[in-house]
Amino acid sequence: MARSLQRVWSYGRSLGTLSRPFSATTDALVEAQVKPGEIGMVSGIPEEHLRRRVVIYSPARTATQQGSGKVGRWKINFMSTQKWENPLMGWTSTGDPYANVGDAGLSFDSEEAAKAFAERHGWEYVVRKRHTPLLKVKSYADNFKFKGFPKMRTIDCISRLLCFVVLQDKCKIVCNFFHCTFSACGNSILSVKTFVPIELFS
Amino acid sequence: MGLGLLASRVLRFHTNRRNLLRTIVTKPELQSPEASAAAAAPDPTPDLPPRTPVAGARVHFPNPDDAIEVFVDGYPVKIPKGMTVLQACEIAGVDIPRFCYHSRLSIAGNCRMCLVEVEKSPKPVASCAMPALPGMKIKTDTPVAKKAREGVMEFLLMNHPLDCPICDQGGECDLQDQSMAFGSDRGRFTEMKRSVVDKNLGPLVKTVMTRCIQCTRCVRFATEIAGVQDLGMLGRGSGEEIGTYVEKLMTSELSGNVIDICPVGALTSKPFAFKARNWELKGTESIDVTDAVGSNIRIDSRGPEVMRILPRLNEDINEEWISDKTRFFYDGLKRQRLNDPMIRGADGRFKAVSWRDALAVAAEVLHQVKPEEIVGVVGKLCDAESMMVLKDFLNRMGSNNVWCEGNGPSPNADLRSGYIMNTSISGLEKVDVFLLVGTQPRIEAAMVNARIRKTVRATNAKVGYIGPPTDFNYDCEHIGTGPQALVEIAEGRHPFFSTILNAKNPAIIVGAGIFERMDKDAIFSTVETIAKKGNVVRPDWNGLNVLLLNAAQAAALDLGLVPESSNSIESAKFVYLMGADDVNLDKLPKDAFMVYQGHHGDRGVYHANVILPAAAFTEKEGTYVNTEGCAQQTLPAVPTVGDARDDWKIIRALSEVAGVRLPYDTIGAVQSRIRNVAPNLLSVDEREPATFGASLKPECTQSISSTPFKAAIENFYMTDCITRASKIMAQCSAVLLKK
Ligand code: SF4
Ligand code: FES
Repeated sequence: MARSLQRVWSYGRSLGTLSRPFSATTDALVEAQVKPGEIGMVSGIPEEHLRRRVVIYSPARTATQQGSGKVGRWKINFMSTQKWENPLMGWTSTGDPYANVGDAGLSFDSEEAAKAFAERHGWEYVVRKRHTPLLKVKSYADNFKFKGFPKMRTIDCISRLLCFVVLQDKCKIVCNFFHCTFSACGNSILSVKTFVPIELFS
Repeated sequence: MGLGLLASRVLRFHTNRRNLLRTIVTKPELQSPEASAAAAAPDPTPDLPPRTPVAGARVHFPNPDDAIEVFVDGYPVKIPKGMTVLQACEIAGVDIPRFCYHSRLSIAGNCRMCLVEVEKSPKPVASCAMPALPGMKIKTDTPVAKKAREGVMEFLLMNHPLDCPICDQGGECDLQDQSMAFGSDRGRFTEMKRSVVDKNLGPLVKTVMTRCIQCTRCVRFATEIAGVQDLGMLGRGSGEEIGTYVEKLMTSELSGNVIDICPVGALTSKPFAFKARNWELKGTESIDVTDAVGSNIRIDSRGPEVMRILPRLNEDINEEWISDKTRFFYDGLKRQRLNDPMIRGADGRFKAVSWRDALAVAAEVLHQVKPEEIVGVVGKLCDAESMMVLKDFLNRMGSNNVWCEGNGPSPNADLRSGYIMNTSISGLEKVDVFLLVGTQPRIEAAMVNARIRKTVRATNAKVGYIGPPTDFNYDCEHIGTGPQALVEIAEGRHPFFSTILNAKNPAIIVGAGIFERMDKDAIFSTVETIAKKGNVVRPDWNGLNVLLLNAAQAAALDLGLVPESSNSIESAKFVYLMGADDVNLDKLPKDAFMVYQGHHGDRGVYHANVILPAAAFTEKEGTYVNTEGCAQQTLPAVPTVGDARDDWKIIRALSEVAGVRLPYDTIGAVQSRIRNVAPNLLSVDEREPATFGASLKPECTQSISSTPFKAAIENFYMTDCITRASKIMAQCSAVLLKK
């Protein structure tokens, strides 16, 4: 089924990248004559499957993988849920010939191609918006940017105690013992706070 | 360029050089990249097809003047200044192999898989950590880059176990994929492989630490996104281990995401372990209904069973994360399901009957009661279509007492700005001062909380909180526990008021738990006073937000599901519960007849007289509106259980039996009915902002009570009938919340 559908599809397709033995003009002529739903009718598909509701969507990248080779394709979801577990072997049975077509058999380069295909088969379709990532500037140096004072925590580790001296608009790590020498910094000291900056050690 | 393409390039590369001697030493062309580049690209304007960014990515230019041009494989691309080489390659449509780099985490630069060749640089550079400079000539596909990556891969595979056949990540593993392109067919390592003791991270994340490649993505995720300092790296060299320092569970509501970001099978899903292989699964792109955020998810099913739930990218809502509740509550869909229509007999026991009988009984009772004694309550998980149909049906029966649980006794459905998140979830990133009123976003809407945390981390935004003491994973000033603190701010007596006043984009987030309070109007008008005085609502900025609790709430208010009288339940004789389990029925007269339509045998069925089994959100097509007012649709992934039917179809059938036939036969017809009432529900995936501000509200005469705010959700893991039926969620609340 899937293969015949694909065959129908590639015949009906205009020029495209597939080089067919037909000349481009004949192909375009065929294209012009196809009315919505006609391809479905002539390919002998049962009546009830010519009036299906389908969803056209572009599958998102699998969250567990980083590769984007399959991202950007368009698919048709037939919303087929006529499935049951076969009592004999526990395998999945289905009463819908399109059950696996959408997932495995059909894939389009563009939204328009998928829409055209659905139109030719006379399916009622809705198109889901494709979500794309937004690339923002990132830099390695951000790791070392001053991001405000570390969060104040209760002191749970005395040997790791750091002493921060708040100078005018500046912050300096003076030393990592409580008895630090503030004279090391020439500026006037506004306030002294003790922290255990967890972030620095994790 | 996908990895498949990469692999094919590699193959081609091999065939080209088949007749050459294979040696380990480098060749002259590897030694001097410039020379080989000059030889390889004599044509300065190569005839390249136009390329699109990887995965159709959009590029955010913070300042259009700061664009620079670099060349990726000879192809010129314009990128914002400061981007890394890897990002430049992405914009040029070249997918660089990587392990440690993740676009939503900070850059670690420790796996070295992303090595590329840069002209005039003596060594290959780690593209993820190297800022792109103007005019840089980056080559991603040269022998040098390939050889460098092969070397990295060989080191990574040295200590990686060969257990792909028994690994749950197998088939969707970055290491597996990339070793197809850069791995060798034999190893040169003859020593023992190291092994690492597995850590116990709790009931959700399974660890097989020997597989870890020390990319530190999980550590960065925990510290940066989840905001818990639980994970870390111990030891150095081959003794390096990921762990929790001391024997400790991972206590975050986002912990499941480390399963996704782990590029190998070191962190996998415990409930999903050995249940299915991922290539057997069929993915259905749907949305989540466990909270009001409407996270985008993919429901992976095998046959008639939901096997797992994964997040799906949506920059505006959940980015690429989902909460643990969303990810792991699916096993509740298999337990406690109602699969046959049932009627309670005289002995108080339920008897399974046919649909015809059940509907006949319900219709008969419906005709015996007075119209104003009919009450309909819609549950948390209901879709807009079924709410519309129920409202139309009860209206035809003469009653107008339909509401959605969680919206309180007298909801305000007139002004849309009064119940949605006007700033929008992604808009929260611009906020510099937050005031949280009676809401604990970490529990109520974990993804919104992740956004707030992101903002606080990025810009040091200030957060003030009024409500019961609770856990925050960012710095937060606890202003008070009750409305008194709110009044203090409104009157300018509290220092936080000046913080709001000085803020550029302040945002006030009011929790939907306040809807249940008697003095809710007074609280809202106090909040509006703060908004007015603090310049929170301006023509270019709306910082006044309500954070809803349930998936159905916003759509119910959009459709105008508001009860005629706030105490209709006290005089009700016929109650129609459509999935409503948490509605307070203490005041209901004992002789009231109750119909429960829903998918789980939960609290709602205890008193029901008739049970009508319906489809869960994984089994139907339904429209939901999230807390920011964005309409989204679920798609059916698996068949319904037993004899259950879609919600709207049941009511449509009941209306026919009751003699008031509703005029819709298809879901399309129901949707065109919705178009008349609330057209915004049909613009799927579009956020519809509220048009009128809160200034149109009438004056409020209520007075504020001094009762402190209550926590709206007691147990994060158990909020609705599906999560209460889930064993995994029960485990989580026992182990992590000690409940
Ligand atoms: S456990 Fe996974 S995510 Fe964490 S460092 Fe190891 S490989 Fe990376
Ligand atoms: S991805 Fe660049 S070093 Fe890991």
